[in-house]
Amino acid sequence: MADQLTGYYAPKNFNIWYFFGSLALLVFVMQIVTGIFITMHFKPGEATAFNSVEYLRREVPYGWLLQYMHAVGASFFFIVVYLHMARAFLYGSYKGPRELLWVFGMLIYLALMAEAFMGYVLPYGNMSYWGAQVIINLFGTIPGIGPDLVEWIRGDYGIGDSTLTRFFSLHVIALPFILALLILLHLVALRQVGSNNPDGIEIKENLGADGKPKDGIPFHPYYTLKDIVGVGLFLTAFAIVVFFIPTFGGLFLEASGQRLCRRVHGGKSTAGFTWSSPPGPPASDCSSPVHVTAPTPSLRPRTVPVMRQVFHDQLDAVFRDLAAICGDVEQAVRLATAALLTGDAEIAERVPWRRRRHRPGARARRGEGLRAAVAAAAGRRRPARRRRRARM
Amino acid sequence: MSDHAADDTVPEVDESRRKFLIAATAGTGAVGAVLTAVPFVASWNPSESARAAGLPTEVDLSKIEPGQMATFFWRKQQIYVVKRTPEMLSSLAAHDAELKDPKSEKSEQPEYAKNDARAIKPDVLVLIGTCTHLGCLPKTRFTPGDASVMANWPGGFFCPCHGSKFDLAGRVFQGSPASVNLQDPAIQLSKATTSSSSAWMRLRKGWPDVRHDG
Repeated sequence: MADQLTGYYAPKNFNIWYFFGSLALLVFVMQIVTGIFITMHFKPGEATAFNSVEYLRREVPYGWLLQYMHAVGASFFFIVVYLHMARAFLYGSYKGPRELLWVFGMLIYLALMAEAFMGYVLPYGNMSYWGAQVIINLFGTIPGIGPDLVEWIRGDYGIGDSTLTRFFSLHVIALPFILALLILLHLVALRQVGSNNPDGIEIKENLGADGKPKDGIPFHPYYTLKDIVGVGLFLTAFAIVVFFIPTFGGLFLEASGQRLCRRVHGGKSTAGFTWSSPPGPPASDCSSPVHVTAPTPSLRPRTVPVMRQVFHDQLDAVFRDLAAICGDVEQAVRLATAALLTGDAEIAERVPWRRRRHRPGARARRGEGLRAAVAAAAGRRRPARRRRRARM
Repeated sequence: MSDHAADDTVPEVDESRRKFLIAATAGTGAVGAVLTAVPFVASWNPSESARAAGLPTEVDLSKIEPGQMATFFWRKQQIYVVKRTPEMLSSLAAHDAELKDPKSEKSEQPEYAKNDARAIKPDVLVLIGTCTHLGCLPKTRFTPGDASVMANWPGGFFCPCHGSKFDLAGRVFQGSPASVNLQDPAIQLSKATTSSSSAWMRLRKGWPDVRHDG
């Protein structure tokens, strides 16, 4: 067994491109281990999936870390695999006698895409649902059997509980087994033909007196140790992302909570107006943890009482604003009713929308908000009358 | 480590330096492996909501009639709360010879409960309702003289699974498969000196108290 490693000779001129195969294996093992621990808490099913993921992130000790490692690990898996494939293109490692090795690699790629896609559906957030919708509908383009195939994959007339639960089983058991098998075959195929190298020289053609390739070095200890260095550097980069930029600006995970916060708190307003006083906590710095979907990756998880307090504060603020709006609406309705009943045009003109149209700079003030305009209209009486007559 | 004959200028191998580097790398790797295991192992600990459910809970004792037992579920265990009458208390001293552990030396209870009554105030008995044999729920047999349990039965608990018998302080009788008295959890009674006092339950041994809320 040991001489499988020490007796196997690899070319001595491997460069940085040759790290990614072992790194891919490392990430695969990491995904399996984090996945095992996540599966202990995940509850598949339309009604329970999302909540179980939130439970994992907020309540389970280090649950946030497990989830981030798994999600960031999935993205890193693809980064590593693409760089691994790039090496094959750069140096022609797909060419004879390594065609089988390449084919197994392509099958791994296919299985990996399926595995990642199904894993993404499991938390059953918005991106999960619509991602599933789009990708499964792709199969509907197959002529003839398309629509029936799509219904068969989904298990229902639309994405639902059946889809989620079967994806859970495939993601956790079926595809990991298939992936493991394919990776094993990939490694066996490599062992059979030996590695290519940046110079493209077949090392087996130049053997020394002892029968070993003159341009080769035993895998152990040279490449085992070199790969350990690669693993160390990779894990450093991985840890930096997991602990400091897990969503990677929205590329790895949805940072939707943060973006919504910025819209609401008066960043770039898409609706054409902003609230005059923002709902929720007064701070408009949207980097604070309550505004981001993911909880703060600190080693002391937020306690239930603190979260409850924050939620109550936000709820209070929302209700305060609602009450204020209701008051203003009542004012406006009262004015309008009085106007209708008395047929008094003066009173009618006090209703806010008329005011805004005739005032100079009304367009500039459009962002002020309905409440401010109504309050202004309801407040003033006698002076407004004179001013309006002059303008008309 | 190359055996290739062409290399005449192979430098002398510094074995001690090599040993040091290997040991240092292996040591750092081992530390890294242990630290990596920490989140995985820690994730099996009770979650925040489990801890929150296990916070000290208050029990209103005024609802329990003297001579009656109330049970409730806390930290996944049945807790027995008995309001003992003076007759029940007087029966406790009479049968020390028939008990396996009359002084409660081998059983689990707080310091204040290492007395005959096994309680802070004798009229309130709090026990964990798990038979110390194999974990069934003991049934109440409070009526003294109940011959179906045993001769000279002073009143207490009877476990139907394998026949263990406990007295009105949870102490185990001779002849029971159980060998240890029923467990007495640490409690705190409210300041009121009347018998209708509130009690807080706080289990000290085993599980740590909630970390952040003190």
